[in-house]
Amino acid sequence: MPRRRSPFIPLIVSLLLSLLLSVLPLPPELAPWRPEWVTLMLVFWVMHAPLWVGVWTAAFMGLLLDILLATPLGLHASSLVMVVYLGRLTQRWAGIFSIRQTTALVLLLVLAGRVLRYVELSLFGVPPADWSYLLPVLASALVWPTVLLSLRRWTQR
Amino acid sequence: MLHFLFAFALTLGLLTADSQRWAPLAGARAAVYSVFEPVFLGIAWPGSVIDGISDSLRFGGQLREENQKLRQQNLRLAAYVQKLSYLASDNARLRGLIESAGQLHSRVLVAEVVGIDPDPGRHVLIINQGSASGLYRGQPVLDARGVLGRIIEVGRHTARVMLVTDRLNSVPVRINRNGMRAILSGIGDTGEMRLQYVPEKSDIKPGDLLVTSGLGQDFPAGYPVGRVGEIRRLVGDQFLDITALPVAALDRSRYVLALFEKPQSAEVPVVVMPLPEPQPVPAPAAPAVVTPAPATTATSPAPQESSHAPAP
Repeated sequence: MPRRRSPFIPLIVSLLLSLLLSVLPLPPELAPWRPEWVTLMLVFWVMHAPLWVGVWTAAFMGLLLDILLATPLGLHASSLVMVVYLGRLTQRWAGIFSIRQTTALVLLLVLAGRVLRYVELSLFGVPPADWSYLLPVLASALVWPTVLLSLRRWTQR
Repeated sequence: MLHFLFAFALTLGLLTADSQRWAPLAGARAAVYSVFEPVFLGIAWPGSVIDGISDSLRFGGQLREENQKLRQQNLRLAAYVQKLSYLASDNARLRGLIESAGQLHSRVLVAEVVGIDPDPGRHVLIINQGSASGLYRGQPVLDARGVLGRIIEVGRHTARVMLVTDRLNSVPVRINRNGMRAILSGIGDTGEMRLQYVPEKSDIKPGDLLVTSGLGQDFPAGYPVGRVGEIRRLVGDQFLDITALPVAALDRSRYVLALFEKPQSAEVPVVVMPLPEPQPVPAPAAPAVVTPAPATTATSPAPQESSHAPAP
């Protein structure tokens, strides 16, 4: 499997884009439905370029996200580290998963990250109050096929 | 696996350190945040350009109408100011009499709202002024009608303002009509807040204006925050269940005022009242009471005596 181009540039561009998308203002009706763009991008890259992206990338991106969103430092970082590690465990099947299966996988991963953040917020601050906290899980799963198909052309195959 | 454990432990450690407000971490965070500030200003740029275009596209008649309206408003405000200046001098005199530091003309800084927090569960605005213009953490922020919130994080050229309706925010208030104190807390709803710790048999009516009491660390006394909405009596609870509506236009204000004024309780750290003792020299102390520099009046007799003593 000859590698025709290194994923470095699309990797950087997509990660920067995901940071931008996670702070972009949305109308109030759409705001609870904002997908977790950073999680999606990291999961994609850990599945398709595991040599380039790992838990340390996730920790770095999480810290940047924490600073951008003014959340407690380490909140998003820890959840992204966990999600990316879990994603890496399933990476060996990434080639044989159908899109539907990876969508289910992404739903579970984002959910796991949110649950971890909920626990951390309950320990260190005030946990979110209502069920709209889980809406981004659905939104992330809904946009995942688009992310997957548009990013796939940048990978080695 | 090892990498995962290390990274996870590191991030959890950071989280713990940050929750304990570890100082070096806060400094590093502020530095990185300052690097990212242009992002927020850049995101706000298209919106401000559109606003600018729509401003310049308005027609002459509209502008004349608005101009007239503003003139009338200006006249009305000027009349208020005349009365206010009289009241201010009166107030200064009275405050001089009771020897408390009264600050009537406080400096404000106008800032523009350039963004909102992406998390809909938090009521936080981003404004386009920061520590470069002297803003500080905990500073009160107002709009034309009342208290908007307080600054929770300061960057170099932006700052984040937590609105009074955020679930983490509480403001010490009193009822303007009778001076009764309470705590006004946000519940995460833009149109509603909760007034806490009002005893069951107290004099409170729907529509009462709630103003800051100046008892906390951040908000100076006398700025309107909310109005009492609904009052419910809970069986078996010694406090009333009271909702309050914010008076500031929380979701519509485009320009906000950052107030450079601290409550008196935060300004004067320890006030030791000297015991009343017989004072043999009334003559030099008498003008000190009249001048509106009350912070020094408590200690002024002593240096005056000492300066008088070597002179003869």
